Amino acid sequence: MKVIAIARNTFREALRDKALYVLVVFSVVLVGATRVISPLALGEGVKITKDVGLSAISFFGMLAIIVMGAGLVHKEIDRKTIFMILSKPVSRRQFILGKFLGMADALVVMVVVMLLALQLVLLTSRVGLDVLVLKAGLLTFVELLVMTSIAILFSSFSTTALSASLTFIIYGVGHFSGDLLKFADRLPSEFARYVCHLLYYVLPDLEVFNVRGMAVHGSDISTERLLAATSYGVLYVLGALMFSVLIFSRRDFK
Amino acid sequence: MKLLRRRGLTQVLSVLAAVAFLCGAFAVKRGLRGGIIPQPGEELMYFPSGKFLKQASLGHNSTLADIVWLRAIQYYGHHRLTDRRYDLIGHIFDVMTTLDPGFTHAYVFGALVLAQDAGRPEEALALLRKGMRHNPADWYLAFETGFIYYVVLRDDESAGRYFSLSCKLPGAPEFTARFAAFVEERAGHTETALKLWEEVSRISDNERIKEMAEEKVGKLRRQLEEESRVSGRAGSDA
Repeated sequence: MKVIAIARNTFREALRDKALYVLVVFSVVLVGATRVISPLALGEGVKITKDVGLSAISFFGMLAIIVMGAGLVHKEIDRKTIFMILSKPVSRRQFILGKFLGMADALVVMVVVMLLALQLVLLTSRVGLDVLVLKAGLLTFVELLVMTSIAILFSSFSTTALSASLTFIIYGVGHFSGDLLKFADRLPSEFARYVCHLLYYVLPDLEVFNVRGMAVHGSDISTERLLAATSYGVLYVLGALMFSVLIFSRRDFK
Repeated sequence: MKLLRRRGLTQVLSVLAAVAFLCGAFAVKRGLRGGIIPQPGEELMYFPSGKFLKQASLGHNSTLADIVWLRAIQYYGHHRLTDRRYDLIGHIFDVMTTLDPGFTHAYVFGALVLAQDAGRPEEALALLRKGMRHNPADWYLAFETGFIYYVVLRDDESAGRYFSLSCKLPGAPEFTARFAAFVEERAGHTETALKLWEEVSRISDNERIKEMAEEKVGKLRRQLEEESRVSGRAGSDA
């Protein structure tokens, strides 16, 4: 119940933030704009609409996490509101979980609005409802949840600017963590190879959630793939949140 | 009153200065057009490679391929209307298809431009082979390869091989089998041509095509019988 109260409050705060609206409006306009350029695309207008729409969900969702999520915990410490919250019978674990769920709610709204806009544009292009786009959108949402948990982890011990930067770095590295193993094979040092393998397992593999290409080219995204990627995402989120709670519980706010 | 007047004057001067700066920027830009500013698509020659861009795109490689596609069309259109030189087209389509290996239309369009407009059929075939490596089940790429062998290189042997491959792939329309049968027949592969015409007659919904295919089947059967009779006679003479 306390978790829900904190989540509701975080969600309300996110909705009050104008940045969220700017990002959503901008991405919707971007998707709509692909219809305007489609006559110049020599028959590839629909592909461009799908590509841009799905990329916009991932990219603008990530920007929302950086703008709003990276300061979720630190902002409360900075404003000293954390003392008021923790003086009530609210555990630090409940606080972190509530913050995560509130941000996740805001992301649900954002992703749903952007997916609706994309499907609407596709309907006007006489393509109809595209289930593959919905599946790709779902996995992009799981990717955003993973990144939110990472932003909260960084926010639990660092400043807003630092956690925003670190979250963006992880977003970048997460897209080619798969290459770390290939890179490790070419390294002469045993220790360096070990570090690469360690990083490969510790860092999130965001390419697991990237089925945008498959959705655009009409390749089937199997239920097994969806379930495997979602379970990977959920487990990663739980792990990152556990670490956040652990770090946050040991913090002294004096 | 004096303060207000001074503030108003400052605002007017600021607006005038802003407009003057923007006009200056516009004038410089106009002066640069056609000089330092590159022609459409020419910035693509500085792209290091598709592999690098794929890594740098942070999972948005397909969207980046779309941007390159739009630039490629501009580049093609610009040179088609001016000097008809397409020096960078091979590089542009290589970058694009490395970014999005499933972009079938890019292989086909790129190969046509390379073979027909740029006069570089070997590069066109290399691009199509790359496409077939990444999309082995796509009939269109094999058909296009056969088309370039047949129309541009006048190589019936290779064209027939690719048309035959194309008609066996999933989703291949009936006309691919017709093309294959026709070219195999021209290349002197009577038996393969017979099988392909039989296939056309079996799968076609069009009565006229069915009739034509059956005629071909009859003709090729007679030809085969004749050939075996001739070879049998030659064998007994020996």
